[in-house]
Amino acid sequence: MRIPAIALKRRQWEPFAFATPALVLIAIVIVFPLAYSFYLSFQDFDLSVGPDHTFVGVRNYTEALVRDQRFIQSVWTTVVLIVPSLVGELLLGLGIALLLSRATRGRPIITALLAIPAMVSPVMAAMAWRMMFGVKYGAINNLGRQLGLLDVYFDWFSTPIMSIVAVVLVEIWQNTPFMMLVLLAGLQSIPQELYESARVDGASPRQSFWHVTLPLLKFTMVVGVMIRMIDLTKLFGLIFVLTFGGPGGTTETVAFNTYLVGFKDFRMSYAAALSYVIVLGVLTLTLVFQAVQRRREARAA
Amino acid sequence: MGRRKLTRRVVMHLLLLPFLVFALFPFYHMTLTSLKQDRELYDRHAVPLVITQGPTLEHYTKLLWDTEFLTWTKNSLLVTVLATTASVLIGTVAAYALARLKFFGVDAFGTGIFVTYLVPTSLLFLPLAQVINWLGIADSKWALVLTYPTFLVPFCTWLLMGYFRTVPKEVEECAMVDGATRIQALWRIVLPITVPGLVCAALFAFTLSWNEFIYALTFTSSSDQITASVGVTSELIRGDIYFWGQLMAGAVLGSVPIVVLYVFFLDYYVSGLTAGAVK
Repeated sequence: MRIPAIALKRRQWEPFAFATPALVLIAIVIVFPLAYSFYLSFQDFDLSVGPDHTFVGVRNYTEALVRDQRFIQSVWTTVVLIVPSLVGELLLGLGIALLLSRATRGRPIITALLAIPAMVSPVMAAMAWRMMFGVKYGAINNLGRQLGLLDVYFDWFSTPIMSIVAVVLVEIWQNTPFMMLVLLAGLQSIPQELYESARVDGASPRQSFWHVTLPLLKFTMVVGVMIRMIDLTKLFGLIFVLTFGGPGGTTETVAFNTYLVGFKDFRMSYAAALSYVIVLGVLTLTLVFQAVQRRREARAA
Repeated sequence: MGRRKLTRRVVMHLLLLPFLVFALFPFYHMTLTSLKQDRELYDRHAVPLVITQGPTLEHYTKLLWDTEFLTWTKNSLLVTVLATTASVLIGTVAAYALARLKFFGVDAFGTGIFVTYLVPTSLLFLPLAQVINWLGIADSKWALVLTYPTFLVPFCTWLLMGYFRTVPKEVEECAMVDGATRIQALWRIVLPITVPGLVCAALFAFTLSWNEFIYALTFTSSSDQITASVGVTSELIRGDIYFWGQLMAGAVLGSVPIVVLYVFFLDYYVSGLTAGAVK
């Protein structure tokens, strides 16, 4: 039976009717905040002064990029936190995923247990770590003393380096499971025949890892790292609970800095400008990342 | 050969053990702390890994009856359930439209949804703070019901778009030729096929809003309006004094709903977490 084309065509209009409200809502949710922040970023809206504001041109942007040492410092802090976190999560995640893909017994349950840190509230989990790092009654100090490994009750959050190490450690603990699950899915999508033919051709397990697994897993790895990188630029809860940006602002990330500027100092316009600088930075990073990846793929092909 | 294979298998499992310990130790310690008596908790010579002086439920009873933890949990539940329901509904309709229709700007919408993921939270919550003030719902849990969908809707839409694309168009076209309307086709044909996607979107929306912190911290502060994450981290710390027993009891109770959901829907979680990387 042939369908009258007109009947189907007429129906094409129906979906617009019920899709429009949802799409308009999404547009409002996306476009309005972006536009309003953009407008704000050229004003001098400061709630601690008053509700009035006027146009000030690019003053907020020049302040952020040139004069605001605290912001520039927070960019570096974010980079310093992101790099080791990403490397740690990728390497650990890959290692665990490889082990899991070979562990035949009880894989679902082991995977589930390993993934719990990524599921529960980051803030609650960070609290558990905060307690373990505690000066007087923390498990780490107490155990260290009792085993004779530490000779003082060490304040882990008193030095910049140890604070960064602690934040990176907790971040790796919390988000390695994500990388592990992504990479495990990637590993499982590699056809077994490839390994078999590699073995037939006399490849050692190490060789088949370097020449079969890694090249085929590369795309998954890139995507996983990119998602984590974007998430890490928003790192807030962990800092809030563990260090509150201290000591002396040395663990203040861009997200934490903007929060303080906007909701503690009430400099709304300046916070908006900072946010836009961050978006542009993240966007550039993402695009560069993609471009490098594409060029490499083109060269490999 | 068989023996060597067995040894290798055992070695693989043994190698996984340290990672398991690393992943789970904080939860073990969290639970242990919540059950310790204060006397043992603040005893520097007590071994932190076990309970030697007897367990107690004191921290739990104190948390439940002496603080407003129950109110915070109720707020969390209310906000989470409402925001999740709204977001999955809106996300379903939007994702269906984006996945099925070809119209002007459809790609721009897709990109726009991805961009919301890139933007720092601060960029969204500055304008949202204004909206909340205009609406007169500052410092109220309704502010959260209103603002959580701003990140949940794009997320659900993006996740569900992938699922809708896997349903062959012909299935609904057949139904529509037989006289079903577009809405009926979506409701009767497409949605039943995409139930796993819907469950996945709902689970993630639930988890994201239950665990949400920065909006809750910014938009609410009164003790009868805040959510569990904010309540536990703000009201159980007075200046430099941390009420560790109650804090950890709160952390355990706050994690339970997520862990229970997670145990029941593990496969959905995995498919949701890896959706971006695999699709």
